[in-house]
Amino acid sequence: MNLHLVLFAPFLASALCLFLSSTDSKSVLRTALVFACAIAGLSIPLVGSGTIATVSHTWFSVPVVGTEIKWLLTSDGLSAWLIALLAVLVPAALGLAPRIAGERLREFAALVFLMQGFMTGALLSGDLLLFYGFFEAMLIPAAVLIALFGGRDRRKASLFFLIFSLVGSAPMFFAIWWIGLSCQTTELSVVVERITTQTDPTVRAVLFWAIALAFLVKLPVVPLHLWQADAYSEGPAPSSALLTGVMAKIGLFGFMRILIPLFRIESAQYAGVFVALGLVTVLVGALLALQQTSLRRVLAFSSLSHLGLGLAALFTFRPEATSGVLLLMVAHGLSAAALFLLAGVAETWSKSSHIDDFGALASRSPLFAVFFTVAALASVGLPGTAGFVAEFLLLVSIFKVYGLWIAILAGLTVILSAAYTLRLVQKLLYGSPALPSPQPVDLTATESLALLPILVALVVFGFYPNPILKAARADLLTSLPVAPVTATQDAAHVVGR
Amino acid sequence: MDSIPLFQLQILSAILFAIGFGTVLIRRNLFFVLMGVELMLNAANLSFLAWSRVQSGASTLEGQVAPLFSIAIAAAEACVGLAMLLAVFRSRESLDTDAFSRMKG
Amino acid sequence: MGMENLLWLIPALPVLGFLINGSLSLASARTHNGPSRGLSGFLAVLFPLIAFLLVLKLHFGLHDAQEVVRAQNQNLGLHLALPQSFTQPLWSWIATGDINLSFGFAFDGLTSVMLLFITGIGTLIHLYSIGYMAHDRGFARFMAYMNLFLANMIVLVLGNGPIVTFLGWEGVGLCSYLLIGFWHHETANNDAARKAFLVNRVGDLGFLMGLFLLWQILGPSTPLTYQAIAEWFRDPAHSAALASGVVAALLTTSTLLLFLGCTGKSAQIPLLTWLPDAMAGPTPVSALIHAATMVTSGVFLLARMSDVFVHAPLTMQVIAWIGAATAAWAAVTGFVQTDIKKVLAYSTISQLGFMFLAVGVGAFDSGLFHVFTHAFFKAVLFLGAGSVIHALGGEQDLRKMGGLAKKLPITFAAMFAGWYAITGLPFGAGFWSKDLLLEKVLLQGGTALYAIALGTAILTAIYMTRMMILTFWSPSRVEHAVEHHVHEAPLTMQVPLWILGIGSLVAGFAWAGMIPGCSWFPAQLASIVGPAQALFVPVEHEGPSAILLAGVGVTASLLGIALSFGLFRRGAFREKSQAPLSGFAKGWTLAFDTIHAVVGIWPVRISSWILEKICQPLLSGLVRLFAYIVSLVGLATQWFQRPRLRVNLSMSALGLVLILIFLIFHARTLL
Repeated sequence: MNLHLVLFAPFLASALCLFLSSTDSKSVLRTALVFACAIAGLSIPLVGSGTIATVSHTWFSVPVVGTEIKWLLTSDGLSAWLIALLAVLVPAALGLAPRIAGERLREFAALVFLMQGFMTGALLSGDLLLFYGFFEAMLIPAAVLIALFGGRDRRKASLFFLIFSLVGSAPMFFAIWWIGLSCQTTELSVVVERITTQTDPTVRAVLFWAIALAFLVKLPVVPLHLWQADAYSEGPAPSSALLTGVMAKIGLFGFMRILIPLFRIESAQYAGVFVALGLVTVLVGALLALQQTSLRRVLAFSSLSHLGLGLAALFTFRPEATSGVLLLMVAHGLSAAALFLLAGVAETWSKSSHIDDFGALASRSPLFAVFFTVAALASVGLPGTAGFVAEFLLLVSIFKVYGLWIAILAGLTVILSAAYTLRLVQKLLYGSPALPSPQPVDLTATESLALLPILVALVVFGFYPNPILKAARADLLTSLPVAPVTATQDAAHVVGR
Repeated sequence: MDSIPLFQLQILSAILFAIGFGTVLIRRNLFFVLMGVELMLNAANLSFLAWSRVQSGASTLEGQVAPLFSIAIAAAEACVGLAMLLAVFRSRESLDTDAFSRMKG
Repeated sequence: MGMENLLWLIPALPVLGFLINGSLSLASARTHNGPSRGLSGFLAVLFPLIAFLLVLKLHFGLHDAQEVVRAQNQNLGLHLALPQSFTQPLWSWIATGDINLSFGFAFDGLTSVMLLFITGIGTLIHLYSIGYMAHDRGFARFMAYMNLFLANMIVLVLGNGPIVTFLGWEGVGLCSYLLIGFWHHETANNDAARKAFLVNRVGDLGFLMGLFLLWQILGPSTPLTYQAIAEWFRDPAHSAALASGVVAALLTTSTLLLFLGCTGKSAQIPLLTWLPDAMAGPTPVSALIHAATMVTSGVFLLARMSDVFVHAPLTMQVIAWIGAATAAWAAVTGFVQTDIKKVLAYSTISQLGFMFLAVGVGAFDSGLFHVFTHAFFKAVLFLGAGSVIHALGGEQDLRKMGGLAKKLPITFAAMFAGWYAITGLPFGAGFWSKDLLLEKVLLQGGTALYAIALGTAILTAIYMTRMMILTFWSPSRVEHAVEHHVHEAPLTMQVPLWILGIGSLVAGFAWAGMIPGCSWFPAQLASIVGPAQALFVPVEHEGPSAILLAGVGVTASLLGIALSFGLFRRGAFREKSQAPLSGFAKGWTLAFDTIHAVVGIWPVRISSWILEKICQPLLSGLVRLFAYIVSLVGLATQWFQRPRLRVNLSMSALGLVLILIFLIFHARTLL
C-alpha cells in the first residue's frame, strides 16, 4: 500500500498542479514545493524499510497465449536510494525553475511531477512489461519539457531524444514479448527462475542484446550518445538535471535490476564488451568535454564520462563495484544535477550559454560560487565527497579484475575530469566579467535552500557512505554472476595464502 | 422458389456484392457510393436468407432475423448517410470523393 | 589515558575556524570592507594555536605514557612493549565486499614531529598573514582557506592509513589550488592554480594505483592502516614471499607509483613544473604550503611507508637519483631567476631533492630532519621575501631591489638567519641537517651521489647569496616612486620573523650529531623508520670521520658564497638589465613544461580535437544517413497512403482478398 502511495503521489501532484493559478507563479512555486516535499517525506523513508513488495495482482492476461502480466511494485535498497535521490532532486529542480519557466511554471511543475511519477514507476516495477511501460512513458514528459521550455534548437533536440530512446527500446519490447510467451509471465522474479529452462541459448543471447540496447541508449554509451548533449543543453536546466540525475541512472539500474539477474551467463560472457564500451565512454566523454564551448555541453559530456565508469565497473561483478555503482548513481546524480541547475541560473544571468560569456561570478555572486565549487569538486571526486568513495570503489574493482593497466586507463578520468571541470570553474567563477553587469546578482533564499540538501548529502556521504554501500550489497550480491578470474587471486597464490 | 438451388443463390449474392463493391470503388460520386453500399448490404441479406432455407429448426429463424435487423439498420444508415451527404454538398458544392481528402469542415 | 580521544580535535579545530571565517566572509559579501579584520584574524590564529598546544600536550603525553611503562618494566622486571602511538579509530568509512576501511587517526613520534612544526609554523604564518593581507578585501576568505589547508595537512599527517592520508593529500591540493588562485581576477593566477591541481592529480593517480597494488600484495584481509602495513612487512613469515620475483616486481611497480604521487606533491622530476608557477599566490601561502608543509608531504609519506620502500631496492635507487637530479637541476635554475619568490621556489625544489636523496639512500630520519629544519629556514626566507615585497608595494623583481639592509633591518636580520641556515654555515639549522644528510649519502649512496649533492650545496650557497646580495647588499635599484614608501612591516609580521629567524638558527640542535644529548629528533622516529633503516645495508661501513665531512660541507658553502660575491663583482648577475628572461634562462626552467606538453597535454588536445571535429560529425552523419534511409522508405510507403477514398478502399479490399487466400490455402496448418 505504501508503495502505491509513493507511486501515485507524484501523479496526484501533477494533476493538482493543473488546477493552480495560471498567473500567480509565486503561489504555484510554493504549492509545488509543498507537494515535492510531501512526496520526499513519503519516499525517503523507503531507504530504511529494506526489501518490500506489494501483493502481486494479475493486471491482465494476454488472450490466447495466457501470459500473465502482473501489477507488482517492489522496492529494495537499490530502487529506494534512487527514489530518494529523485525526491531530493525534484524540489531542487522546482526551486530553480521560476527563472526558466517564468509564467508557465504551472505546466512545468505538472510535467516534472509526471516525469517523477513515471520514473518512480520504472524504479518500483516488479514486472517486465510494467517496467517497460513506465520506462517508455517517462520519455513523454521529458520530451515535452524540452520541446516547450528549451533553448533555440529545442524541437530538434526533443525529437532526437525521443527517436533515439524509442528506437533503442523498441527491441526491448519484443524481447519482453518473447520472454512473456516463453515463460508464461512477465513477473521479474518468476522470469529469473524460468528463463534459463524456457529459452535456448541463441535466443537468450538475442534477447540479452535487445534489452541491453535500451539501457545502453538510456545511459548512454559512446556510439549511442548523440542525443544526450543536445537534450541536456537545449532542454530547460531543471529537466536536464532530472534527466542526468535520475533518468540516465535508470539505464544503469536496468542493468543491475533486470539485465544481469535475467541473463547471468550472457552477462559474464559478454562482460568484456561492456567494460570496453564503458572505458571508451569514460575517455571519449572526458576528451569531448574538454572541447565543448557551451556550458551545459561540458556538463553533458562529463556525465557521459562518469556513468561510463559505472558501466565498466558494474561488469566486473565485484561486490564493491555494485555498492560503488549505487553510490556513483547517488553521488553523480546529486552533483551533476546541482551543476546543471546552477548552470541554468548562470545562463539566465548572462543570457548566453557560451563559456566565454561568463566570468568573475566568484566576486559577483559568492553564494553561487560556493555552491558551484562544492558541486564541481564532488563531481571531480575529491576525497571528502561521495564522488571520491564511488570512484575509489569502481577503480578498485576494475583493478582487481582487469589489472593495473586497465585501471590506469580508467583512472585517467581522475585527471581529465579535473581538467574539464576546473576549466569550467575558471571560466565561470574567475577572471574578469565577460559582460558588464551593473547589479551583483546571486541565488535567492529559496534557491539556496533547495540546493543545500544536495550539497550536504554529498559531503555526508563522502564521510559516511556505508548506508548506501550496504543497501546495494544486501540486495545484489545474490544476483551477481561469477566474476572472471582475477589478477588478485593470482597474486594471493604467489604470496602463499 | 424451391427449385432455385443454394449455389445459384450464392452466386447471385456474390454478383450483387461485387457490383456494389465495384460501384463503391469506381464511382466518384458520393451518392452512388452510398447506393453501392446499399447493394452490398442487400447481397449479404440474400445470402443470409439462402442459407437459412437449407437449415432446419430454430436456426432458420436466426437466418431470417438477421436480414430484418440489417434492413432496419440500413434504413437508419441511409437516412443518416443522405443527411450527411446533403450537409457535405452544402459545404463543398461537390459530391466528388476525391475532393474530400481532409476531414475538416 | 583518554589522551587518544583528543586526536580528532586537532583537525577539527581548524575546520571550525574555516567554517566560521567562511561564513563570515559569505555573510559580509555585499559589504564594502568585509568582516572585521580583528575578529576574523583572531579566530584564524586562535584555532591553529589551540591545535598546536594540543599537539604539544599529546607529544608530552606520549612521552609520559612511555615513561610510565618503562618505569614499570624497571621496577617489576617486566618487558612490556612501550606504547608507540595513540590511536583513535573513529568510524568505519568504506565497508563493502572484502573492503573495510576505517576512518581514524594515529599519533606517534613521526606524526608528533610533523604536527609540531605544521601547527607551530602554521600558527606563526597565520599571524603573519594578518599583517600581510590586512588591506585585502578577501581577508576572511583567505583566513578560511588557510585554516582549511591546515586541517587537511593535519589529516594528511595524522591519518591512520594511506586512504585517510589521501583525503588530506587531495585536500591540501584543493587548498593549494584555491590559494594560488586567491586573486582570481588575474587569469595567470588561475592558470597557475589549475596547473598545480592537474599536475598533482597525475601524481594522485599514481598514488591510488600504487596503493591498489600494495593492497593486492597485502591481501584484502589486511586492514589498510600504516600499523598493519608495517607489521606485515616486518613479519619474518613474509620475507620469503617478498623475495620472490612476482611479488618483488609488484612491489617495485607499486612503490614507483606511490613515489610518482610523492613527486607530484613535492615537486620533483618529472612533476616539478607547478611549484614555480604556484608563486602566483600570496606570499604567506608560498611560505606555509609551498615551502614548509605541503610540499614535504612526499617525504613524509615515504618515511611513513619506509617498511614498504626498503623492500624495493630499485625504487630506492630511483628515488635517490631523482632526488639528486632534481636538487641539482633546480639549483642551477634558481641561479638565473629574477623573481625573488621564484628563486625561493626553485630553492625549495632543490632542498626537497636533498630530502628525497636522503630517503633514497635509506636515511629516512635524516631526510625528515632536513624537512624539519627546512620548514624553519625556508618559512623565514619566504616570510622575509614577503616583507620585502610588502615594503616595495608588490615589487618582486630582484633587479629592482638592492640596498634594503638598512631600510628593513628586522626583515634583513630574519632573512640573514634563513640564509645562514640554508647555506650550511656552522651551527645554523641547515648545517646540522645538511651535513648529516651528506654524510649518510656518502656512506650509503656512494661517491657519485655525494658529488652531486656537494656540488648542489655549492650551487645553493651561490644562488642564495646572489639573492641576498641583490636584495640587501648591492646598491639600491629601487624605483624612486617606491623608495619613499619603503617601511618595515607591522608587528604581526615581525613577530613570526623573529621567532622563525631564531628557529632557523637553533632548530638544528634537535639533532646535533656531534654534541652528546642533542638527539631528540631521531629518538622520536626510531620506532617508525628504525626497522626499515636497519635493513638498509650501507655501501661503505668505514667512512671519513664526521668532523672531516662537516669541514668539507662548510668549505663548500664558503666557496659558494665567495664565488657568488666574485660573480657579483664581475657583473654576472646583470642586475641592471630590464630585459625579461630569455633564451637559456627561460628554456632551462621550461624544459619540463615542454616535456609535459609533448607527453601529456598535446596528445590529449589532439585526440580531443579529432573526436570533436571528426568523429562526432562522422557519427552524426551516420545517424543522418540512417534517418535518410528511413525517410526514403517512408516516402515509398506514403504512396499507399494517398488521401483518396477509392485507393484506400481498393487497398483494404486487396488485403482482405490476400488474407482470404492465405486462410484458404493454409487453413489446415493453422488449425
